[in-house]
Amino acid sequence: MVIAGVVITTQPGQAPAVAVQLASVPFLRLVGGDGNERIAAVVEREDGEALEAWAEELVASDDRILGVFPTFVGRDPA
Amino acid sequence: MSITRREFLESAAAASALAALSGMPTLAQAAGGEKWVKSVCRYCGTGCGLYIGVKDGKVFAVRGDKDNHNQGFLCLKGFLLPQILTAPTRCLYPMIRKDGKLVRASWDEAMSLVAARFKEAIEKYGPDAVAFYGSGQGLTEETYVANKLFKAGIRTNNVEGNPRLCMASAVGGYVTTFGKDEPMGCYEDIDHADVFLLVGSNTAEAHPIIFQRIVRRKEKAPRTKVIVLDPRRTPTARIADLHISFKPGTDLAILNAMAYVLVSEGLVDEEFIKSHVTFGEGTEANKSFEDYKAFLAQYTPEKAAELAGCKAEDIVTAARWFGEKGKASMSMWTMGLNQRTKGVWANNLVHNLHLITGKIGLPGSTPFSLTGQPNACGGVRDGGALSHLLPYGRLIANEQHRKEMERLWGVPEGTLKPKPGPSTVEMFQKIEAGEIKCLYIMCTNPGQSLPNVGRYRKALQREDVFVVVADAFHPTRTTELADVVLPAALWAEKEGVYGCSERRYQLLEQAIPPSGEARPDFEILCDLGRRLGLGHLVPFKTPTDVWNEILTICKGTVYDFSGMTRERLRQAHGILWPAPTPDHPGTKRRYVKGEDPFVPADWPQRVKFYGRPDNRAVVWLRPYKGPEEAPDAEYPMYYTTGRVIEHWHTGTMTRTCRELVHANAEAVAELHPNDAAKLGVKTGDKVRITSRRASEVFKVKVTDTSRENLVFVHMHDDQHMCNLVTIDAVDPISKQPEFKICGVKVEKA
Repeated sequence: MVIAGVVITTQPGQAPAVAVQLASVPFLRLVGGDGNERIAAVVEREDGEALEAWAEELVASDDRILGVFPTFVGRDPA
Repeated sequence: MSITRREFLESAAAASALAALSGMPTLAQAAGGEKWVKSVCRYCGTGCGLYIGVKDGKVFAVRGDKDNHNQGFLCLKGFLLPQILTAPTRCLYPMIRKDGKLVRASWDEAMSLVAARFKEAIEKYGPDAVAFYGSGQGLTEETYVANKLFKAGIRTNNVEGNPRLCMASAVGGYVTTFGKDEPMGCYEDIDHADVFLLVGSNTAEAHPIIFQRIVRRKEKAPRTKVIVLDPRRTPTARIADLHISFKPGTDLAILNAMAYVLVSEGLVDEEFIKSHVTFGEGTEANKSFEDYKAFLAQYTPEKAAELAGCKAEDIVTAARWFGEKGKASMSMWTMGLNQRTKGVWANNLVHNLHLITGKIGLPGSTPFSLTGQPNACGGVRDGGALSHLLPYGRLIANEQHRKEMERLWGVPEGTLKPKPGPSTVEMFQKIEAGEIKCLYIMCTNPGQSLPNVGRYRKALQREDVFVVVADAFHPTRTTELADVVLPAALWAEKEGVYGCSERRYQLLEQAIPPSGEARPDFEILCDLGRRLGLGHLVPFKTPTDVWNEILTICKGTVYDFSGMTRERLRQAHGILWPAPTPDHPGTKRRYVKGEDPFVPADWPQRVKFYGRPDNRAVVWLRPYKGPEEAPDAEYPMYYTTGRVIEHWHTGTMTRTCRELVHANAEAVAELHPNDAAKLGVKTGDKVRITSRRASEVFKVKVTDTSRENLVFVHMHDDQHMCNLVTIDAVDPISKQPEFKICGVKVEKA
């Protein structure tokens, strides 16, 4: 299992709305945001590839989301 | 109070994301006046395009280049690149060893000393008393200047580089099979492949963006098959439809057995073989298809499986998938094949699979070697900066090539020495023997990265050996051995060209000035040339001057990229050579009619292997041979080393990133649970690993991803150096060392 800290950047002003949507993602935990265009979250995925695939899908699926930037990636072998 | 690892990771992840909120730049900020400079990632050979964000003269971020092959994606290492520029370990001023200690010096003092010691050695012992050891991370222009200065100026072929340690066997494989070096395919082939054969490549960790592209292909085309041949169940193997674990070194038998199945089950392309293939043994292409069939008879899947410790039916399945008619098959490999005493042969055997099935030169069908460094291909391999090479496919041993280079470089006939210089291991052995007195090391860390490194560290410490290291970082395990350390500009601080695995050349533009007193290696080398009285050979004022000369050197060769003007590179997001004219779009697939400018439009077939005189590629009859040092009673376990995703090479860069330094920072020894039980160790305990060369202590990680009787050690730790243990035996053709396999004993420490 990979546990990553990510910053999700959005169009200016869109972070709150995007955060509401992300709150329903089962493997994602919101940990903060600037209330405007940046959201901090912790994501758990099976592995790095799944993490990258999720990030790619997220950016591709929502025009409000500009990018997903990992800030930390750790592995939990359990 | 105690927390679990999971809780720790969650906390760390949350903390880092929150911390980033306060300081992380955004694209919106970028639109507010900051400068974004087009560049390329500094790490692996994938060559991901990126933009460097600059504000107030400092790099504050990078973002992926959506118009480049990586489609905007970067791996974590790439994303964190800005941190390496301001690392506390940046080397900011020249240093000279005085009374056993490195002390600050002026540039003039340091360069005067370097020039004086080199002159003295050359005058007293001849030009072969000095040597250059470069890097697949240097810019093309830098490597070119060094190569010219040493070979045509000083007149020694003692020019080597760390690509000898990573891709020399791939070169040997391409040259012996196709007559010319470098892959014929491109990354775009990934999007067309139906079958991937990944051999000796942990793509997921070593080339994450390429791996991501494979994953995307698999998602888009769910019937895509991924075959992974690797002793370990690496993260790459997690997406495998078939993972074949085998005893290290036995993959030659498996690859021959796959060929056996292809031939015996009629999965070959007889027409392609008839038109484009010849067969050979040893060094002569003097065999027939019938000889090849007879040769393969000894490699039934059952025999190979017995030898390799895998299942015969898996070999059959792999061959059937690879050879299925109408499907495109792409192979990829890297150090698992290359870092072997039979590395060239192993490469040949992969090429064989493509040649007998005709799965080559078509979208998605190509044998594609992955490179570990960002400019091993472009700078050293193509640029001819190894001891037996001259630029762009020319050879030291070829009189016509020497004459041609003498004419192009404007030096008298006979200037270039006809005898190839020593390969990397041989070069360091010459230092050990006292034959080489002065060594100039640029942008690499042999004090950690050489095999059997303890032996060569001693050689570098000889009293009568003068070691100069030009590096962006200090201390490293090499600068600590230096007599002079020269601070080199790093990545965004200079301009030049990188050439990645797919023949894509890209310009890295300078984004910021060099840190401290650092200078680009290009400038340092030109300075050295002037001080040695050879300034006329390196009269360059800018890297563009060098590039313009390089364009004249490549012209007329099969590499011809003379259409890649500096301005064009500045505008483009990479161009694949050959590109012989300014309007040529670059070549996705070499040897293919309609794509490669060197295949005539009226050529009667779809491919022309013009690297060989008969226009045919060679299927080589390469028997299975085991590693140089297989386990025995005294050293009963296999030892192998490799990368983890968080770090790169000797860690001088990644270990400066705060998000990476705590992840897999210390090299661990990964052991199979059964081996751990036998040794009485668990995760976190320590083991002493001993080979015939040295021993080192590592922390244990017990994991069933390892194969029984195999210990895998991470390669990035400068304090627990895996290469104290590795063997320095080399492939007789490529001279690449067998880092990947040796025998060890493992004891609880």
